[in-house]
Amino acid sequence: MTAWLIEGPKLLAFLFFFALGALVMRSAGDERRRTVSLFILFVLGVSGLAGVTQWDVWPFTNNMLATGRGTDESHERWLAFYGVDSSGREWRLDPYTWSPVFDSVMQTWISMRYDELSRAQQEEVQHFLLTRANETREALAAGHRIGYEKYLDALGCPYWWRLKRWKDVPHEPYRAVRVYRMDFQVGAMVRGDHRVTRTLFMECRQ
Amino acid sequence: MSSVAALWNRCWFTPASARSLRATRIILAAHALWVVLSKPDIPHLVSWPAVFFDPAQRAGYLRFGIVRGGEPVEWMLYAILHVTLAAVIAGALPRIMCAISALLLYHFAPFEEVIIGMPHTHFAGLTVATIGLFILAFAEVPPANGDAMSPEYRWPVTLIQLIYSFIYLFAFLSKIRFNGIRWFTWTTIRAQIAGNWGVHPNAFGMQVATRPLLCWAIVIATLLFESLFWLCVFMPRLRLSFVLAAIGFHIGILLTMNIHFASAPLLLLFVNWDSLAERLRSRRKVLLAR
Repeated sequence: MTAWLIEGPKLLAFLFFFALGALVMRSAGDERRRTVSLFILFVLGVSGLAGVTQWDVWPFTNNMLATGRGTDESHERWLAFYGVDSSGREWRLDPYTWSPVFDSVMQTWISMRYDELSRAQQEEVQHFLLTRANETREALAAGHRIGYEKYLDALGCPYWWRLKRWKDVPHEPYRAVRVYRMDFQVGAMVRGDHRVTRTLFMECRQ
Repeated sequence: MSSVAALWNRCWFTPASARSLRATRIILAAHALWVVLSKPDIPHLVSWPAVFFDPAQRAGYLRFGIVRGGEPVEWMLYAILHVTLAAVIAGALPRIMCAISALLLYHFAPFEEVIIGMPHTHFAGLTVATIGLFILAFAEVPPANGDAMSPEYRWPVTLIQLIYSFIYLFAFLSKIRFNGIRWFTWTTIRAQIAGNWGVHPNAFGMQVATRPLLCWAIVIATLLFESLFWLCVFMPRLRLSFVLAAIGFHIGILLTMNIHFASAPLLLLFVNWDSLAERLRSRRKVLLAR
């Protein structure tokens, strides 16, 4: 119910946009300019509201971007995905492994939701990650293109964050997927201390 | 007529050419088709385990018609989206094809990030096309050829350009909203660049991050560019400068932070296609006269 209190007005905004657009389509004569003006005002009003309040009403969006204001003391934390072969060697997973969900989206999802899940649900997630990692491994090993390159090759439009690609894969299935927490301090990076602390967060096994 | 009404009419209803409206339609659809072709696995998301879909966000999924299961239907709809976007580019049944494309984009664009609440869906390249194609579906359809002039060809183009310019203006407002003017200090740029290092080391970016004066220049340029870009929608004389600044802005971000702006090709919306066509026509005349 609470969710609909948030999503309901957003849906109504979109439906009202649609209804006003339909009115524009049907309007003619003296009324036309007034109807078009009303439509423009509505689009500017909803968009402006999203921009000023930063309340996202996609597709009337807040365009929130890079709002963080870090300092040299800021700590950064990311998750990194690795496949593990039978010899125990770790292979960094390509950021398009979970396509259509990008690496950073999966990181965010795990950070937001994983700890709240029941044990059975966590096992389901682990099984899914290992299966998907192996499906992608198979595709890459067979020389297939994945993610944005699938149809358009290098001419495709990548996800907005251009993380390094990791296309080398073993010729045998992964036995496990490991998810590490990567922690570092911004100021240390700038001073040339590029150490990143890696801590195992999750291991998905068959 | 009051001066406000006169200004309103000048901004939105000064006659414009059918060519500019056709160009807007082709640019939006071609760009959307490029982005859609680059996201080939989108429909697959509905087959993911239920655990990935937070039940508390169910209303959010339903707002975009996203329901788990029914993957074959999603694949069919996704194929239709490719066809309708191609039809928009070709100018076939433009009103209907724009409407269907916009509805399908409204459905599919959120897929990529819907499981985490769509924090960057606006940045993925399909937002302007979604609203823009709806606007074009509602607006008068221009003739397939010729450069007839009408106020009906002005307002849709201006509105779509303004929605594009909101990308920068609202990005500026978001920084002000959450950090105030203090965001615009050199250490922010330094931290933004260095924060990427642990994930994707970028030697050029780090060279920039270690130079306070350069970071100050970037942050001041960002403030001016993001807050003022929208002016070029209503002041065509400013367009070339702002579009060149935008290109520089996006190349700079790509080189220092590895962030790619999928909507950058939509800067073509700010090209004066009438003037370009006129120049080509003159050049052709000169060549034929020789």
